[in-house]
Amino acid sequence: MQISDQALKNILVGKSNPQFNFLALKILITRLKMTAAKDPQLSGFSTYKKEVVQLLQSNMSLPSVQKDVKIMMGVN
Amino acid sequence: MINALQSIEDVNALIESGKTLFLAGDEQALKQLKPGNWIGGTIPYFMAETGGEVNRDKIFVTEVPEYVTSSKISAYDAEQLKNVYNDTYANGFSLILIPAMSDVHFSFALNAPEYPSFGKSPLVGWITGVHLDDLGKVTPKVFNGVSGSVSEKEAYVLHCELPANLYASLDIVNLFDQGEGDTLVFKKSGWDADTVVVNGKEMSFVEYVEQKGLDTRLPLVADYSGAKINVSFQSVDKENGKVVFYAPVFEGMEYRQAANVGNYVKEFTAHLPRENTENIAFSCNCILNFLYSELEGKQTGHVKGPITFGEVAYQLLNQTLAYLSINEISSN
Repeated sequence: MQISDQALKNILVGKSNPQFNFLALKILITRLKMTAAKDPQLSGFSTYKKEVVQLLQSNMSLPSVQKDVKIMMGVN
Repeated sequence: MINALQSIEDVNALIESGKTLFLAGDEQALKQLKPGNWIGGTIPYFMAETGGEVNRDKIFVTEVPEYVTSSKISAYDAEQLKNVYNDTYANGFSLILIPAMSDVHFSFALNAPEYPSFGKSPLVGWITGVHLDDLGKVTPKVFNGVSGSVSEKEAYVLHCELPANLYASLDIVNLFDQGEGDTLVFKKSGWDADTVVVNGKEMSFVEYVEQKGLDTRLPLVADYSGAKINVSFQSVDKENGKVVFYAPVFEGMEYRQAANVGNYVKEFTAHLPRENTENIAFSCNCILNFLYSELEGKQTGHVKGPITFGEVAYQLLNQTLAYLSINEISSN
């Protein structure tokens, strides 16, 4: 799955605050933003991204996830 | 598929017919059930066909649909519960029961979003409790109909697998919005707080609650990337100088106290899902909503289920309705 590194970085540092549709993603992103607040250089970005991708891949049959993937791809 | 309050006799008949069941009832009622493929948690409060109901004699039955292709029951202590998402089926859902005030409750509340494979499949369920008259006299418990075990220390989970043409989705209804008041931040995560940072200034949380005259029936609300997540007040402990919650606050998260809801029943009914409601397989709501909004005898739309000491929708929630839907995968 391709998601935009820049789109995810912008979300994690609070530059963008998209309203997601998938509840588990809302919870995960919020937890990762709290982690990223203590990691301003995003040195753990590859781990953060892996968690997001795994969650989305595991739930691709959900319409809410399909919408959120577009947000993560920087489409919306 | 049954999703309703049933007599003990009728539940035993379902068990003997081989149904897989997710149950809620008073401890004395659950003790009368026969062995079989079920798990149950203690609680005597329900949102039933006729509205909010307190009933120690009947059991709320959620029958696992027959199209479920496989199921398994697992028990987890506080250390093992981190594996719960790894144990879920790739396509399915899992129903969890956690005894209130146990180490496994505390651990789940603090750590669930950090569990490996978080969210791999929907994890929905509730925190088991007791009749409020029994607080301090009996403990919340979970029952395993297969092993015959009863626990006040472990979480029991019924993992269910769905066929490829179906998917499960989990969502919440939370009537509470962040109010217009102060921004509250806590310096450490936990179930209680002695201090709070109010609009950037640290002060005693007990003093803040008293000075502001906060209505502690209204929870603190955080914005989780669009999801409103509550933390309910349990008590203001002046003697020990701390405020105690029904779920943990998290370090660095911004909270605001909820705005007043007004007429709970009216607002709740307005917020309920309207499409594909026949696909709702399970739901539960919070005992604080039941108490504060005086729901006994009142109907809150078509959603039925146990009234609980905490709700689980991937993580612990307070004062929120959680519901699981099972839908067909679109061929488009």
